[in-house]
Amino acid sequence: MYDDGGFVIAAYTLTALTVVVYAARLALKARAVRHRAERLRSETKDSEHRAGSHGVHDRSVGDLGVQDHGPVEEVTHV
Amino acid sequence: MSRSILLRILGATAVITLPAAFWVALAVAPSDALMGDVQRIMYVHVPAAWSGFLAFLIVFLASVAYLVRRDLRFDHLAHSAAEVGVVFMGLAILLGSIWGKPTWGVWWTWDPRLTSSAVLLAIYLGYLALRAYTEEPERRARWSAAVGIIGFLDVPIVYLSVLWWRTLHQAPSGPENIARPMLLALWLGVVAFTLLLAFFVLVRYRLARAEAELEFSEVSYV
Repeated sequence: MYDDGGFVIAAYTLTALTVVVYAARLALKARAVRHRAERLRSETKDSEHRAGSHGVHDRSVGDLGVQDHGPVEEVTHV
Repeated sequence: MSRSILLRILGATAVITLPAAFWVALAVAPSDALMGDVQRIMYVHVPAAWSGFLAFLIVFLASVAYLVRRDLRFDHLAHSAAEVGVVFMGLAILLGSIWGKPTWGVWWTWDPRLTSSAVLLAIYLGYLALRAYTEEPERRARWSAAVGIIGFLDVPIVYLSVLWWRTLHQAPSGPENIARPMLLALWLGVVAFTLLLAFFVLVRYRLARAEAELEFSEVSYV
């Protein structure tokens, strides 16, 4: 008989920790993606605002593709 | 019902099922006649390995689908499943090591089952490294798909290794050679880990798609 309970406790603790740590990693990654999306959206708005106030057609704004593809809106829901 | 709500329900079910599986494994299932309580590690070791195999099967199927359809969503799915599979396979190997020390007297030995499992883990770590060092999305998807398909060949080798060769590792347990309460604990563990696998892969898949869309937006912006 091998009744060393320490090995059993170690195994179940390791399993629970792995699940918790990986879930936390995914949550942190999701938060980072949301922040990136918000930053990109605010930069896009700033560029549009600057282009509008100076009456200049900014090529980077015109060719954004951001609004057309709707990605920024979508990634905020991660 | 929206996908977000379904994902939350799946996550909640997994979160409830895992402690239930732990409770049945630790408090309801009887001790093994030969190994005693140490055998209870089986109720997490086997489900972790099963989830790893299932994740790598998803990688294989998604990789084939990508090469046929050239749709990057399949590549994102393969990537997500590979990452989660590495977590579960790594866990299975560590749990096996913890079980091996009191029963075999060693943490590790170059037994066919252990060696083929380590090779499997190395293949998918290589898969993730390949992805990390390849920037162009189409090329990354194509190369990863090739590794995802070829790498899966090791899964049946791992599973059958205990039948093909004389190994220290025991042969698979089934309904014919395991007591009913033990089988219940094992099945509950398998269900809990499968739910967790599905939840993690879906969350990681959504993240992978969001990251890809952000990259596209940032490139367009620049």
